[in-house]
Parts: sequence; structure tokens; C-alpha cells
Amino acid sequence: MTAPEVPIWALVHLTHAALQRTADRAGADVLHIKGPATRSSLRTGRHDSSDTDVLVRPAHLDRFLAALAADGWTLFTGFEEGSPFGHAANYTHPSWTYADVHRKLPGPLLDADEVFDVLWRDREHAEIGHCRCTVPSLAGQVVVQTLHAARSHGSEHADAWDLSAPEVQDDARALARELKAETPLAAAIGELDAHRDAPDHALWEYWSSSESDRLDEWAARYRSAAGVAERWRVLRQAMHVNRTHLRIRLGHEPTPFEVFREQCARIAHGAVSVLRRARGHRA
Amino acid sequence: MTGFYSCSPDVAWVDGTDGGRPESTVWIARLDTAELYELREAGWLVWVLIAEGIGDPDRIAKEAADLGAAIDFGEHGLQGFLDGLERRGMIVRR
Repeated sequence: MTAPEVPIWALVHLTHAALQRTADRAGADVLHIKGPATRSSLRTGRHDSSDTDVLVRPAHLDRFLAALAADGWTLFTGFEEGSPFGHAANYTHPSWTYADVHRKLPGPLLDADEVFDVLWRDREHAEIGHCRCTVPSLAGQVVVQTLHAARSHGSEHADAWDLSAPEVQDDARALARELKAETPLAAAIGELDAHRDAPDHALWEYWSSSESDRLDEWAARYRSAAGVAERWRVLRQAMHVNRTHLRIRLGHEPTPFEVFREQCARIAHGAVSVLRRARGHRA
Repeated sequence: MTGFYSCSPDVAWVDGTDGGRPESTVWIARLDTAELYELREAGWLVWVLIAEGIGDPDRIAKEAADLGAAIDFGEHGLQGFLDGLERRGMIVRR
């Protein structure tokens, strides 16, 4: 009767249910996002995601992470080691599939606490694994998927947006406005030029472009950083070697020499990008 | 046969239909222990019937017969199968 190998798509459903239970027991507000937490009407086909995503109320993050640990989850990639947005930590569990725990959504300029408040205010419930899970409203689901598409370098299409009725798109635009996420929304749906003067235009031009390199990324993040402290943080990050990524790539804990070698490679890569531009190899 | 069964509140489950797959299989998770189980064919049918609120063993047997499903749970029969599910905490008796 035991099932040593549950298909990954099914395990995603069960993992969502497990995370909801953990959140309930911890008294933490979470919103399930993406995958089966998105209405089927907003997807072009059946979902084949391999991990689960939850957005946690920032004020409840510590208690939720403590509850995860108590339930047997192990941190795989920390918030600062994952994406450049530092928005999610990745957890593993012997039974469940990977869980991406989001402390914020990449995209909105509104404070993360306020973003969660807005999404939570309009929340609804979905049966995932035949368990009641909290999910964003329909417009919230559209915004979440569309913002995700906006930072995919063109690899993910804004399906939820395209599949939405005009009135739902209007609701999603209003929500994006409330979240101060109009620029990334525009980037995903081909309207970025209308936001040329926005402070985060460069950032979303980079993330939505399919022809950008790391130097473009750091330049865009630098230009979009608010204030001297934030710009200094971006510069420090640009030179920082992500040990987790290096460990995954090497298959073992990197030695000090390997970290040093990676540091040199980053500097060399940046220099090559600059030279290629100077020689006009890139448009 | 005695008892009226329902799915335990501590389980999550998903079957082929939930994923748009034509599979008569259900995967069940005990959320409190993180144990995973799989039921196929006749086991899947029994599970789905219980989830639909058909928790009386006699009625489960009748529904299965009406659907033309051949259920062979071996020496201990359907009741033995239900006992096994209950022992594993997947279903509860009311």
C-alpha cells in the first residue's frame, strides 16, 4: 500500500496541503501561489510544476520557518542565495517536494507587508489535495503569474493575462496599480514603453528581455536602486560569490580556492562584457 | 459489516482526475506523519466512494458491483481492506 514514488505533479498537490497544515498549526498566514493554486482557467494546459510556492505574511515568517523546521523541512537555499531579488528560500523534506517560501513578491514597489495585506484582503480558498488552502483572488493570481512571466527573460508567457476576460484584466491592472507593480506587469504584456520614465523601468527591461547578460542585470539593478545604500548593496552583491550556487554546480562544498577562482571568473566575465560592448558586438 | 467510514481529517489526497490524467490511482498523504500511500484500481474506487460520502461498507460493495468493478481484496475481503486503511490512519470510523 505504500507509495515509494508519487508522481511529481501529485506530490506538488500533497505538499501544498502539508504546507497549509504547517501554517495553520503555527498560526501563520500564507497564500499558495502558482501551480495548482492557480485556477485551471488561467493555465494553457495541465500544470506540471515540480515545486510548491507559498507567500508568507512577513510578520509571520519567523514562526512559519520555525514550524517548517519542526515538521522536518531543511533549508536548501536561503533568501539571499536564491534569486537576485532575495525573495524566496527553498526547503526540502524527505516526503514532500521542494517548497519555495516567499517573503515577498518580486515586482511591487509597495512594502512587502502591505503587498501581503492587499492580497490577503481579497483572498479566496482552493481545494488542493482536497484540503482547504488560501490563495490570492482571481486578479491576484493573474498578477502573480504575470509578474513571474515578467522576470523570465521571455521564457514564460503571460498566459494568465492572455486567458483572462477583459474585466479580469481590468481588475488585475487595478491591483497592480495598488501594489505599485505597474511596470513589471507592463513588461510582461508588452506595454513597457509606456513606463519609460518609471524608476524601475531599467530593471524590468532587463528581466523581460531575452538578450541580456549579467552585466545588464547588475546595471539595471544599480539604476533601479533607490538611494546610495541600496546602490552600494547592489555593487557588493555583484562581486559576491554565491556559495550555494557554487556548491550545487560543483557537487561539493567549495574550497577557499574554488571560491577565489569563481570570484576571479566573475570579474573577468564582467570585463569581457564591457569590452564586447565597447567593441560594438552588442546592440 | 459494521461502521461508517470517512477520510481522516489528517490526510490529503489526489487522484488522476485532479491532474487531468486518466489514471485510476490515488495518492494519499498523512499530513501529520508525512507518510505517503498509493491505491490503485479497486483500492482507488473504494477510496473515491468513501471520499464521496459512501462510507458504509455494504453500500461500498453494492456501488462497486453496480459499476461492474471486480473487487478482490483477498482472504479478509473488503472489511479487511478497510481495517488496513483505518489502521494506517487514512480513514476514520464514525
